[in-house]
Amino acid sequence: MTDESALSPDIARQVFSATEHLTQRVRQAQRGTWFPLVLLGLVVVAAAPFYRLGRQVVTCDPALGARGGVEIIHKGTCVQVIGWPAGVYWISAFVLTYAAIAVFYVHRARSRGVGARILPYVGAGVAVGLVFGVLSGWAQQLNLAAMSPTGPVAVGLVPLISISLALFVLARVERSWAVLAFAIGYLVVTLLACGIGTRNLGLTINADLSPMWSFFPALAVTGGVLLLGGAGFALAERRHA
Amino acid sequence: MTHPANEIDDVVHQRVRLGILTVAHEARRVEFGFLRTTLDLTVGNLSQHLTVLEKAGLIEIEKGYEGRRGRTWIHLTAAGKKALRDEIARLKELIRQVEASQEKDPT
Repeated sequence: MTDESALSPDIARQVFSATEHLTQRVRQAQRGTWFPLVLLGLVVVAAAPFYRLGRQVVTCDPALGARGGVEIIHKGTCVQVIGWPAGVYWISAFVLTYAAIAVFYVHRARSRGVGARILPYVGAGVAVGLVFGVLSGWAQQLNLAAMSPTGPVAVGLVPLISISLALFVLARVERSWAVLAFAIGYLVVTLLACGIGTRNLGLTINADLSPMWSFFPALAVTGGVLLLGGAGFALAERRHA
Repeated sequence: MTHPANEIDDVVHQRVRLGILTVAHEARRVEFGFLRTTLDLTVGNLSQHLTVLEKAGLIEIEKGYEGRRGRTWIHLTAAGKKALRDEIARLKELIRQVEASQEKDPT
C-alpha cells in the first residue's frame, strides 16, 4: 500500500471516510445523553418541596422587615422567602447527581468496551452547580440579591442555569451537535424561567398560584424540558444501536 | 521536497492497523471485543495486527479480569498518537498536492 499508485487521493479519501465511520461508531458507543437529562429532570422537579419549605406566611410588619429573608406581599398576605433550604438541596443534589452520572458513564463505557470521557462534564457540573447553589441559597447574606436582574426571589432559581451551562461541556465531550442545540435551547428556557428577559419580552406564566407555590411553574417547565429531552435522546440512541 | 507517499509508515498505514489506532485514539482505551466487532476481524487476525503495533511501541496491551471474564484493553502510547497524527497529516498533504496540481493543469 505504499507505492504511489496505491496512494492516490481517492484512496486517501476512502481512508478518511473509513476513519470517520470508525470514529462515529466509537462516539455512539460512548454516548448516553439520555441519562443525565432524565436524572437532572427528576432532580429539578424534586426541588419543589425545598422551595416550599423556605416559604412561610408571616404577619406583615414593616418594623420587622423581611426577617432574614425576602417578603412577597400578595393580596394582603405576607410570605417570607428563605433561600437556604433550596440552596442546601441543590448543593447536595448536584454532588450526588453528577457522581451518579459519572458511575453510569464509566459502567456503560466499560461494558461496551470503550473508555469514558465524562470527567470534564462531571467536574464542570459540580463546580458550576456548587457556585450557583450557594448563590441561590445565600444571596441575601452575600449581598448579591440586589445584583440579580430579576429580583431577590428569582435568584433562588439560578441553579437551573448551572445545569444548562454544564450541558455545553457535555456537548463538547460527546462531540454532538444535537446536545449543543439542546444546551442552547435549554439555556434560553432556564433564563426565561429565572425571569431574565421575560419582562422585556412581556412573557409571564399566568398560573395564578399563591406566592407559596409561585416557583413551581419554573421547576415544572425546566424539569419537563429535561425529561422530554432525555426521552428524545434515549429514542435516538436506541435507533442508532 | 519528498512526496508524501514516500513518507508513509507501513506499520501505521495498513488498513486494519490504521483502524485500530483510530478507534483506540477516539475511545482512549478500547476492549479487544469492541475492536474485533467494529473492524469485523477474526480473533487471530486482530491479535496479529495488535502484536505488530505493540512491537512498534504504538499501543500498550493490558490484560485483566472482570469477574471471571478475561478482558484485554488496548490504549495508544504517546508514539502511537504521534504516528496517527503524522499519518493523517501525510494523507491530507497528498490530497492537497494532487488537488493543487489538478487546478494548475485541469487536462
